[in-house]
Amino acid sequence: MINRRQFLTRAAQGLGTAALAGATDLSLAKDLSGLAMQPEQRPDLNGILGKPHLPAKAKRVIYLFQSGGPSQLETFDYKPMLNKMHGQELPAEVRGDQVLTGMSAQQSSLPLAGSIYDFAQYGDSGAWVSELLPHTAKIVDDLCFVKSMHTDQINHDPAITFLQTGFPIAGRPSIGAWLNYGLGTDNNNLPGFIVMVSTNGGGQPLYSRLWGNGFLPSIHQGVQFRGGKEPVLYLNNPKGLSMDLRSELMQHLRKLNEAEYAHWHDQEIKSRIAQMEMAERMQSSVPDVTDFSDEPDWVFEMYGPDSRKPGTYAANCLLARRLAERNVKFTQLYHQGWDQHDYLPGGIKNQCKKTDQASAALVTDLKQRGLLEDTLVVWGGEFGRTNYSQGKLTATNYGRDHHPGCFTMWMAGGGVKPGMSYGETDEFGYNITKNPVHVHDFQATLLHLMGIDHEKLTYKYQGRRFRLTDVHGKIIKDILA
Amino acid sequence: MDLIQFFGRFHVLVLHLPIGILLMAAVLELYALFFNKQRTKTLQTIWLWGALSACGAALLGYLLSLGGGYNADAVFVHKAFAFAVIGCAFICWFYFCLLSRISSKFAPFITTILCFGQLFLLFSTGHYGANMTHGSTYLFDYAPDPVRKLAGLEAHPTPREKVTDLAQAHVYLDLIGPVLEQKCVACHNDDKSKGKLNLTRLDSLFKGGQSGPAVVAGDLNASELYRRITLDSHDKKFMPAGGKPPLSDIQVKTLAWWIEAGLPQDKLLGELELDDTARSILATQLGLQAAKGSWPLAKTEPLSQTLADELTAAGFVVKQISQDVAYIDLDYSVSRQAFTDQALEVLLKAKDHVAWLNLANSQVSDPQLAALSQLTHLIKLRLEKNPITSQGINHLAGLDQLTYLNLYKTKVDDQVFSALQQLPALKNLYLTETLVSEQALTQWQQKNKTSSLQVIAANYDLMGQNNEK
Ligand code: HEC
Repeated sequence: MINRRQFLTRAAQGLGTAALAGATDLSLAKDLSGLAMQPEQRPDLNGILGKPHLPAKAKRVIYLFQSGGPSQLETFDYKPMLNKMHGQELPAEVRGDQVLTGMSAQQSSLPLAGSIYDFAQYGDSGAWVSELLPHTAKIVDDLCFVKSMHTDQINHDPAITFLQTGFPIAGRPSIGAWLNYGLGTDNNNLPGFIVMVSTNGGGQPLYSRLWGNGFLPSIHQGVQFRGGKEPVLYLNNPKGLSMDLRSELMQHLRKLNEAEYAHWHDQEIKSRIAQMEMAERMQSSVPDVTDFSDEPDWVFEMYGPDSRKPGTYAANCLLARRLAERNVKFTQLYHQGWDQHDYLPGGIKNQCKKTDQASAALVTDLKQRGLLEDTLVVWGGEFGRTNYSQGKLTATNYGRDHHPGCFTMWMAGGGVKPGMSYGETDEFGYNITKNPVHVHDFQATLLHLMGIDHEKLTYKYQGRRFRLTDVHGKIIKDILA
Repeated sequence: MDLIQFFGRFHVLVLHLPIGILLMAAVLELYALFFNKQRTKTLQTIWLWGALSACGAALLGYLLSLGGGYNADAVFVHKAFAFAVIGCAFICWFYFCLLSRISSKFAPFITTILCFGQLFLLFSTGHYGANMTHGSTYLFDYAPDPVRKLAGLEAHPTPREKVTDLAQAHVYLDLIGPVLEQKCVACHNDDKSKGKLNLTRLDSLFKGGQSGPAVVAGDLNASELYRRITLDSHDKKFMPAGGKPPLSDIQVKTLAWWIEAGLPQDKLLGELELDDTARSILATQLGLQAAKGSWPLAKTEPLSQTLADELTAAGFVVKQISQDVAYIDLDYSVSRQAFTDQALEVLLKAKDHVAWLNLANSQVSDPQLAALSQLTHLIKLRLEKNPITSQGINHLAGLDQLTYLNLYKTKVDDQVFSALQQLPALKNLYLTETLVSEQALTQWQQKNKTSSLQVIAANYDLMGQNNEK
């Protein structure tokens, strides 16, 4: 709050400056240096840690989030037993005390449903992959499957929030925000945390708080690139405003903001200054990264025809590779539409078609460019799906409900063992029988690969120190290369 | 719920009361006596309080001893002294109450005896108690040898000479003993054997503890000791207990090797058959080779701030590799300017520090590569998308540490393979979209089937060339 006296003095100053501007030399009016200027400070590139806790295996992450909960049973977790017992009741001892959602808890019967898609083994590692993912099948020797993921949450929003922020209730910082807060940036011309939501997904909604900064300084929040021709709006100067003039304007704005900061000492003013400067640099860096005209045809062929349509999952994968080449620390893709409660066979086939080729191309492309070495690619959703059919089971149709008890994710590159499969589920694909990996374990491992001890990156807020992994999380040592 | 143990553990808290109170009483009495000062009457009350708190501490101590895990002789001595302290305290109280009424010419003498006696008993009790928790040698563990002699202890044993040859290492004395000594014997020794387990000697180790033998030759699953050290570190039964620093991965593997190898004892490693994995584990544990995944270069001093600033000003993003590794990671690829000779000059100033270097897409030229050969600590070098040729790569000869070299989309041709001999540590080489021909690549791969170097030059099919990796 400004009190009356401050208001009067400031108003008088303002009037004085204005009067000067009108009357005499313009340059005098421009000079606002009297308003307490701080010496020029370089934004800290090294994050709060200054240096990582350990040498990083991965310098950047591309997280291909498959939103909605892809069925593990039609993709990677091969369960012939379900085909054998197709239509029979889910045994009570298998279900145990697992809570079901309100959507299928009322069903009078829970008939087991086998995948109608065939599986085969691929690669030297002999990984099982369904026929829906022919491109992913070709690169299994570069992937590390975690078949024993499990989560605490059974519904979309809390489950996605849990995976992205380590807590099911909104308000905590997202993984990308933590990484940038801890490690700083490797390219000051682009945001360190960029988010893209495919335009060809559809389904359960997503919210920008999923890539929010929570209580961390807002400079660390994810910057969303929109699908379509113009990924970032208003990058071009308005007609008639030259770059020089714009820069000058920004300089003065900065001085005003600095003055404001000197007065209030609110960190968010600093964030604001940094964001404006980033926006200015993005005026040239974003067109450079989003303009695909320097990509040869064979690249588009590799990612599939969609990759020529801005905003599709395939185009976003290609853009993610371009961002990785430019050292962006955390690139988060979301592809919605994996929530097949009914008409699963058709729905999942469609989803796989939209994502399979590009996901595989991204890994291959990074590999041939020598980037997979220190880029971690993660593929996965927020939970798995039930082994019984939600709704009516027919010869060609069934649905699957949410299942937090087990699901499959894969990772590639960035210090993770290639060509391996970790963890196992029972023959019903319902419970984990070996090496369970909790969401917090996954997060702890991701931070470890980036060179961060997940127990030591904390932020004090409202009297308590917070971590991405809260008070949990074990590094999955067996999958480290 | 074990209520006895619950109260028993308060012993370690309450025992400080009698120590403080009785100490104060005795010192104040002596002070009044020797300096001829007025003795305050409150001292009587203090003696009484001291005596009562000593009773309390003793009672709790008794409860604690019921839990077991302490050497019976040690408990006996401690107990005896504790009773003496209590007795002495009550006598003092009684005596000083009387003293204020009568006066005798022996009074100063008796006062002196009682007070010094009380102090002696107090310290002895404390000392024997502490020995039980910390071990009987605790006090003199780090004493200089002359002091140890005075205390009737042997001089420090000369430490075993550092092993320099795997074959010469003694299984127990060099491998197993030191691990247990470092992480376990504080709680599992002659005086204090938690879980009735004593890990100071092999015979007692084999004897085991409460739940039987601690190790079973050749059977990890039946070996309680191994189970305890591999539990989840939050588990109540995890060893070392009490949040003490856990065994390192390599220490766990060493113990696992020992158990699986059938618990050899008085043997040198040279007398045993070892496979490659065992060799690597044991060599790492003995400090003969760096742990897998650990930083491969020798320790170095951090880069000076001035030089870091200079590098930043020249267009580099400068990062230290990690908190313990003072080498740096330099990135010029995002600077949007060509790599100038001025930038090169600044880079060379930091040549003893650079371990990772990214010069991608920076118009690096062949002559500049010649200068890069001075960066002898380089581990990763990214040169993709630069107009450099095989001649330039020849200049890199002598980068002994280089494991990663990215030449994607450069102008290198088949000659590049001849430069590889000069890069002994190279593990990953990227040649996609270069002038390297498919024949030369296959030829090289045929000849170097066993090489640990992985060459990636993929996707000729997509680039309209032949279909081969
Ligand atoms: C801080 C004290 C402490 C340290 C250090 C410690 N232990 Fe223990 N240990 C205990 C206690 C207390 C028990 C008894 C309670 C229990 O069984 O968990 C015990 C019990 C055991 C037992 C079970 C004995 C039996 O037969 O029931 C084993 C085996 C053991 N420890 C091994 C080890 C090893 C190996 C180490 C070194 C890596 C170690 N301990 C370090 C306190 C410790």
